[in-house]
Amino acid sequence: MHENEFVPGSEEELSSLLARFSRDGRPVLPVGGGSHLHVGVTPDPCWARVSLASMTGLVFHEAQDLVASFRAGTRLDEVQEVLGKRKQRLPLDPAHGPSTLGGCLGVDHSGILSHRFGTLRDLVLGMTVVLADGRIIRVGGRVVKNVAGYDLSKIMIGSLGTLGMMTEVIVKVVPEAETEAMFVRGFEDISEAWETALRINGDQLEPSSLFVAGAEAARAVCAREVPGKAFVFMGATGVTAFVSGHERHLNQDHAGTGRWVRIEAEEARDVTKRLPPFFSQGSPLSIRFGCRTGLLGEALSRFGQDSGWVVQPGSGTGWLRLVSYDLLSDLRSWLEGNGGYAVVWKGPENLRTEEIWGTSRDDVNVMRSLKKALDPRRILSPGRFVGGI
Amino acid sequence: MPISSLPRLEPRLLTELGSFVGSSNVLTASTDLLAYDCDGTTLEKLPPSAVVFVSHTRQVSEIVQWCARNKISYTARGAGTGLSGGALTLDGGILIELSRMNRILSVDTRSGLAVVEPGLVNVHLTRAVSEEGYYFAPDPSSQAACTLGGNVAENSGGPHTLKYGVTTNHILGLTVVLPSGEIVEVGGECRGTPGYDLIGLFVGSEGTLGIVTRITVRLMRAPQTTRTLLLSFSSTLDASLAVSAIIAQGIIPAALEMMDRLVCEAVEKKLSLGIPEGTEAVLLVEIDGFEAGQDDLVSRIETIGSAHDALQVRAARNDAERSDLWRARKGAFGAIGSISPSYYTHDGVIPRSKLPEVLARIDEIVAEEGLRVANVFHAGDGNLHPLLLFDEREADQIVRAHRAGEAILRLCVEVGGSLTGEHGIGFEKIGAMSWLFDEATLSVMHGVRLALNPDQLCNPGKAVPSPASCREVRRVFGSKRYA
Repeated sequence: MHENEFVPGSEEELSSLLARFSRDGRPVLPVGGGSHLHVGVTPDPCWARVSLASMTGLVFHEAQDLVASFRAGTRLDEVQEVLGKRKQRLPLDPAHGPSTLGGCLGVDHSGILSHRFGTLRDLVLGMTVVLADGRIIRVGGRVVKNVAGYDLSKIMIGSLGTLGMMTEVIVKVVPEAETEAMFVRGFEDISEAWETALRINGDQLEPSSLFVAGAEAARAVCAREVPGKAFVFMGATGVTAFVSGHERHLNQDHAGTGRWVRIEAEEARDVTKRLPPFFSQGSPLSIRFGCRTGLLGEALSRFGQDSGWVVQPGSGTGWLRLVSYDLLSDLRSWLEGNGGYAVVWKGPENLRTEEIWGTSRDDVNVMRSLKKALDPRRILSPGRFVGGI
Repeated sequence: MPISSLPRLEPRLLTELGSFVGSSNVLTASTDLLAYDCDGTTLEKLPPSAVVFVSHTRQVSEIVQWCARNKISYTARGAGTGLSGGALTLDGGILIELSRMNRILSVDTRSGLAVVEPGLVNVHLTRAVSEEGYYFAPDPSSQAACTLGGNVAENSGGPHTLKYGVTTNHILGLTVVLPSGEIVEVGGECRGTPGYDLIGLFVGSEGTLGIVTRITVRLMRAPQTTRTLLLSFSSTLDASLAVSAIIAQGIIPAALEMMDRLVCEAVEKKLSLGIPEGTEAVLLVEIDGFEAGQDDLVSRIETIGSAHDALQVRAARNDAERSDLWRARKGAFGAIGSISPSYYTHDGVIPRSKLPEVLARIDEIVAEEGLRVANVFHAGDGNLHPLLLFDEREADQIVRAHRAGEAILRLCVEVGGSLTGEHGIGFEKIGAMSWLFDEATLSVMHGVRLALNPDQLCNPGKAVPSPASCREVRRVFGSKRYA
């Protein structure tokens, strides 16, 4: 525990705390469950930590409207438990026990269900945010379609607590599916695995998740003995006929000489849950990267020799464990040269400098202007974000 | 507006403006400017002091810098189909016309993306990629005319956004000319680029934070099959309850639209769809995607229809029938013209479960003003479009239409909804923003605007109110609407 740890119990309490810190020019580090503090640059020394651990629980759940609101300190497993009582869920499986909704939002950690349901930016309808100067704002709303005013929720998501502290979040939820399954197929050749995933992505299937994983990543998330060096995973959720139709289609059109192994419900969900910790808690050095989907195959052939990686053709993004920091510059210069990026998601403490973000982009000044507008005294997570923000 | 009082630029400024794009690409004649005095919101009219047609990013940047030097405000315009007055110049500024920047720069279906210019017409993109089996998902009713740049500005939706999301969910990258004239690339060719989600900020900012000159969009794979059903009900209550039942079953249709009796009558006159007598509301339900399981969903929807006493449940048997049903929906606004001399389209959002209550209240509100209302809207996501029917030739009716519109919007906010689902705030609803957001929130939004647009020359008076902009609207129109 930090020597000055504050755990406000209400928005008002948080508001007066932050207002005081702002006035006194005392930097603070907002924290959720504390499981993703490794993300971003090591912040400048902070005088205090402000935790959302006491701001938890359901605010409302309008099951008929498929909308729910939670306090940001609510743990993700509790969010799912509450929604599960009405046979609904938040289509988000980014992490393990202690992760809070606010924490996931802060680091924009969405998990692989984003293939179908979008990332957090697509699931959040509105939020309450306490700004650095103590002002409490309510942006967005509680309806699924809304274009009134600037959508400030979007810039809060993934901001590493540098623009404000989210205290309540309104999200879209989905009904639990009648049937849920994951299909996996192993390949001896990485590029064959990738091409298969790309064909599936361009097919008319409607998977809930679609990713290719190297052997090490695949074994960490899936207990089945499927032989191969690279693996394609595809999830399907929906009515039973829909899921079995997907299985049939995979075996007819995308099996080649191999075969798809079907994994059921709970076990399938475990796959999506185990993936994020593989690149966070379980890894000394992990990279989050992205580029135009059509180029990801080449990226894999260049940098996928080690087997701790996952790529998602739907979003053109991927995760990679690196055995050595030296490999990063090659990977990064190739990706950046092709319009992509590579960011250190988790690395050794001494390497958490601004370099983790890669070459500075030309929109960084816009970001600095936003920071200046919302936190002019730079008291929230100073230095943790892109461009020294 | 009398021609003598049109805003004008000094000859020196006009010459300078012409030097950026060639004088033939600047319109200044009064008769030309009057053609640009409104967008799709025709109740208020204000011509710009000049219209300048641009053809590339650098020109936009030069003009924006020139505007900054000369303290002239500017507004970007695409097709001018907007429904909140977003493309109006409120204070004698110039219009930057982007409709000539309408090229598709590249298509990469393997990556599921295309790079386009902002003046490209929405449906032209889908047409260009449909042979390869792809399409652009947001499909506003105006898609045959509206531009992608306009869609980005307004974060446009359309009937199929229920399943596929609105514009912001389909944009990967933008080239933006900032109010400083600086050209920045935002986002990229994939998700997750490092930094704040500036795509999320720019999309839907109604052209108040800069001018978008290039757009990287996601292309979607065309669905394997599509099933379209028309369910007719003898009461809007039954139809509304059926909407809730469909969603509650976990069925997310591609589209779930409602049309009430007046709309049905109007479209029936044009299209003879055979809507049964006694119909008070129809639901147009579309299921699309992978074929397996669709029979199951269709029969569940039919069962829901019967359980809610549907007069008729009809499935389109072929593409021709399907496109007839959609012609009815997309042509509904036009058809209303045959039953009323004027109408005013509103755009409000409510939680879907409040549909029965809100539709009943709207009927009361409109009846109190002695007007009629036709409803045609995106029921699945609670996005209402009440069309208030009136006669523009009678001044009193205009006042009553405005009053009814205001009461409906207040009702939407009261039940937990929003002022707009897809048309934007523009200047039309700017005074109503305080019903939805408190002072602190509005001041922060305004602060964000000032951070990027410090001189407020970039589309002033739209989207987010400032004390000055509220005064501006009142001064220009001498009206107390929403004030």
